[in-house]
Amino acid sequence: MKLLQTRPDAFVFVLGRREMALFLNALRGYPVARPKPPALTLRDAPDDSAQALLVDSLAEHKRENAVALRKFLENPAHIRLEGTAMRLTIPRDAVEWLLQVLNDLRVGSWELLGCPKPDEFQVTEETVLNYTVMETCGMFQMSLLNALAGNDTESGSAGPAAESEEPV
Amino acid sequence: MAAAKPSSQPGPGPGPRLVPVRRNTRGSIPPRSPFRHPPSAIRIQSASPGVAEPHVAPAIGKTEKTADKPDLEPAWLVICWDDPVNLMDYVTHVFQVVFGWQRQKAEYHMMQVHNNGKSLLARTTLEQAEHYVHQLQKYSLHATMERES
Repeated sequence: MKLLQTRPDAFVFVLGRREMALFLNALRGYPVARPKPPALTLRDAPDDSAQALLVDSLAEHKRENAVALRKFLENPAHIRLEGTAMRLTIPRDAVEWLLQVLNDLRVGSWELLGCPKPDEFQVTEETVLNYTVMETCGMFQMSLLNALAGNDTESGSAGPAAESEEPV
Repeated sequence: MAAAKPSSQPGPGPGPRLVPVRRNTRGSIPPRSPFRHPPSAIRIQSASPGVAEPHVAPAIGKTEKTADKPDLEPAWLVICWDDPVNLMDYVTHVFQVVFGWQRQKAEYHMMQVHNNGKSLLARTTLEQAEHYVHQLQKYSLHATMERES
């Protein structure tokens, strides 16, 4: 995934067909049914209604993001074939919710894997799909963040991850 | 037509006029109010020129109860916790968006999360803390609010 053009209204990326297939396949999994419910606090909940409000608010927010994602993918102006490559146009006002969608997929996949620590990552036949989604989303997140920061760099290439791509 | 200018002269009629004391909704005097005197020490202004202005002596010796701490809302801490899945650049970006911080400050807090396992992002009211936690969790960060002990 390479940033081709930064326009006032959008970022234009060029992707290989396999990259695009990975990207679309990952996005189709949204929203992930997260096994861990969101928690407002670890110990001092103000009251039960505040916790319920958080759960409802996040669920509603995911529904809104899912609608925005569906419209985005249905719009031919955003994804089109250009020669042997694919052109992906992401409007600037879509960047924030797309980052949220990608990270929800990444964190959700990690939770489905049982929240492994970095030294516990084990790719097996059962876990490979969740790892693929997790890493694919991380790769596209970095591409978007680099584009926002004005770094015209190709990300997601094979090889060791850059320092900035390390998890917190 | 010009708007009526409020007169600085006292209103008609004899007799003293109390200087208004601003009160909060609970009826008590706000702790940081400039009018922080017991009612017995309120100054009385005369409406008639040339008449001596009576003063009520301040209640010397009476201990004024300091109500600073109890009147304040308890503070809530917004904390972001470490996890091995959120990317460093992503966390920095989210802090910038949610709190409006410059990149340097956002990176400082991101590094605190990375190195110390958590970072205190804000100390604020209940409502504001809830707002921040909602925003951070929309980005799938592990953030909570805790009552300040």
